[in-house]
Amino acid sequence: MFLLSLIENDLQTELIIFTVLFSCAVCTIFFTSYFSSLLVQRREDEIQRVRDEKESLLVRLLFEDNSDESNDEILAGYNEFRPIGKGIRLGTKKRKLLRQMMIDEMLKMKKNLSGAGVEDLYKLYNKLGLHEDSYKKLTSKKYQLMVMGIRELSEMNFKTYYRSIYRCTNHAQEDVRMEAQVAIVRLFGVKGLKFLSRVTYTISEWQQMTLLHLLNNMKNEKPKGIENWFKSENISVIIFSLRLAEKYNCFELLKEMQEFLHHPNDIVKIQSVSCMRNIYDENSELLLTAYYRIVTKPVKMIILDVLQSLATEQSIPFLYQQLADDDTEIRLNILRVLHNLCDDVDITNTMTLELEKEDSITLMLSHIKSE
Amino acid sequence: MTWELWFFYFFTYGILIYSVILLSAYILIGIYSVFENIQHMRKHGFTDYSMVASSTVVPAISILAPAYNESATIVENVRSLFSIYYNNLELIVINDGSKDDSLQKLIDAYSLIKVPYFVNERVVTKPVRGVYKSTNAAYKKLVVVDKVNGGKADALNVGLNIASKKYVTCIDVDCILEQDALLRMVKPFMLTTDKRVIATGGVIRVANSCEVEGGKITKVHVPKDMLARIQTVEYIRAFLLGRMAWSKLNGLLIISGAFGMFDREIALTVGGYDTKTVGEDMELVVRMRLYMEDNKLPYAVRYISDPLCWTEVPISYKILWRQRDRWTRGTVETLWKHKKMFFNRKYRVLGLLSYPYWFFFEFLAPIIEFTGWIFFIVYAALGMLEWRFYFLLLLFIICFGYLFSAFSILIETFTFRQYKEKRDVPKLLLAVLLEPFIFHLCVVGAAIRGILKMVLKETTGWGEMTRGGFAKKESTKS
Repeated sequence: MFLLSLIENDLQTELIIFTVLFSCAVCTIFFTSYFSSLLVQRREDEIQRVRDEKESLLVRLLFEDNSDESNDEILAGYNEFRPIGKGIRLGTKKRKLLRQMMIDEMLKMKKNLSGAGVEDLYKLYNKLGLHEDSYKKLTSKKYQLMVMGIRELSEMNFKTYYRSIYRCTNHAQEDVRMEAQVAIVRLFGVKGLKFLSRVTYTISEWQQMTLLHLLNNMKNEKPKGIENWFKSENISVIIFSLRLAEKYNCFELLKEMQEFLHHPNDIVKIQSVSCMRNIYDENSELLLTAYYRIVTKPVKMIILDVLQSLATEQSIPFLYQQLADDDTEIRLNILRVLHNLCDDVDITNTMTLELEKEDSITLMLSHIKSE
Repeated sequence: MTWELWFFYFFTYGILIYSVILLSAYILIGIYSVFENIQHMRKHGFTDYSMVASSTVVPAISILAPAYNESATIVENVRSLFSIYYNNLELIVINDGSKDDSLQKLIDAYSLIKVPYFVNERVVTKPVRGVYKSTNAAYKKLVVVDKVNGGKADALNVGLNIASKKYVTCIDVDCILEQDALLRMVKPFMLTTDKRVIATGGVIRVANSCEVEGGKITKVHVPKDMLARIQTVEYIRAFLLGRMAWSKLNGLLIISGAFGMFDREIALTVGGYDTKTVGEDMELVVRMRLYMEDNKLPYAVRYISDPLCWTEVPISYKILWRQRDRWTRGTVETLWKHKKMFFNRKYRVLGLLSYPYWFFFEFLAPIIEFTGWIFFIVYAALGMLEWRFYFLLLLFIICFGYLFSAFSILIETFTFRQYKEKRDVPKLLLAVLLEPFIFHLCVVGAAIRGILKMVLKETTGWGEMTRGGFAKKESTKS
């Protein structure tokens, strides 16, 4: 009893102390939350003010009279763009911040510009020496800064530091690596894809999509060396190369592409079949139907998808035979191919199937016809 | 010492120890979440979604939106879903046997006609009465399915059967999505290279009082209604100081039913949504995870901490009570169904951390709290109560709640900062102060009611959620 009362007394004392401490903490955090929100708001307002100022400066520099003399005159009032020296009273941190805001505004403005306007923007970026700021970030140890630096340099089409960027295309840090790969392609188009020869890390689906999208907006020039990338030990490089071959209609690589049907990796097989949508010869149909029997369901599905545009009447017996498949999705896709081949698919050819399958096939056909 | 006294001490200090462990768990998870949120913002802050939003190479997504008796808002809600900026998607609206004229309104508004449609019934559902497609090319992405009423899970299963894309997004039809929400949700599926991402979930925010225009949130306001405001704090706390940590530990057991994306193949392989539970969102995630664990397949469930989806929360205690009762039953049903995971080393983080956490701190917490109140009354009546001790214990717990909630608001201020007006933070802090006395008691009561319903095997369905709707919000900023 004595022990329990002792514990209880001690506990009560502790609880009192804790409660007082907690009450203080609660008050502190309430006030901190409130004043932080005010401070953050004030800071945001200030940043917005400077951004607006930078935006109007950019408009003046680019659109009013963008001769060098006139620009020098305008810039004379901005210490952050003058060399550090006597008479310049501007802290390094503030200078850095103001210059960063200028870069941010340039990147924002670039999205709304085209043609000569973009060229003027590049020149201004160069003239203001902002590339040095970006390069400093690129050489930083913090990956976030590296990503920022790489993006700025590539967006501003500044090629001088391309070697440093290129080195980053196989960087261990995923974000740096991805940004560098995008940057190299942005700077050099399909020629930039040469990083595929050295990249050892997996190129994610997201990254492949980003690169393809970037290439979509560039002039249609075939990349060189796809056949070498086909030999890569990096599976993701093979898959991406197949996508490139499909995108650029590389008929000369048809044989190599067809060989990937033997590849142990299903995604490679799928991509290889997918290429045959655009790149095929008179043997492709036969090849696909021959492989159909030995591949997994996802590959079968893509083969049927490709056969919709590739199949000729010679595949009809094969397709009818495959209608016996137990998988409904496969049957539906087979019927799609058949529907493409013949206007009216003859159900009597499927008489060997069980009644239930016939019923579902009739329904499927009505579905396909209404598509 | 008498047994009564022993019982008294066991109970008193038991609650104290339980509270300390619970609060410590909250602190640990909260701190971990904050770090992970900051990491997430740093990592994904660079992504320029606008660059790929218009791309034709984005992966295909099916959006599944079940609707039941939503005649008042259905046309506007579907229009809002059309405003999502994503190139490659199909929108499947499932009319779950509505008793009102929801279907007719959709037919009229979107020029729908019934088409012959083969439904591959990989998951058995209530019969589909018809599938409708638009004759207007502008709505070619829209598929409306009319089916016999079977509940939300059954409607989603029909959607899973009909969906033709690789990824499915299940959303509440009245949710408002951010423009790049789908891209953000699909990104982890495509970015992860060493394992298969089976599901992703995003942050749900409270849309009450927000300004909506053309199906988009144009201005965020703190809800005017105090109940909705308290739920705003609750949502911030839960999403900001909880889920990110579980995601990082790969121990996330729930993807919100209001907005989640799934790998369709895995969802179908495990049998789709369970129609026998009211917690079908949590149950599906747990079952998908178990499937991957049992088959020793590397996988992940990811969570995106950016605010992606806005939804209206209940503003009446009656509806809130029903919602929380349902949530509790859903949790208990899922935990009971998958009890084999409990401290099962085979399931790693899932069995040793996630499940026990949900069992002890989500399922047991309201029971222990409620029992505490009962004993408090009994001991007070018997004159056995140490008033000073209990007062301090209560104060300690309430203070911790305040601290934790205010901390979540502080983190929100420094991270996503959705509430930007000068008076927003004080309004939220006021809600924090009132939460234990208004909201919390209702939530505990509803949880106990839910558990009792389960014990007594009372069955109730989904209940109905009265909503203001987008149209109303647009005109009145409700």
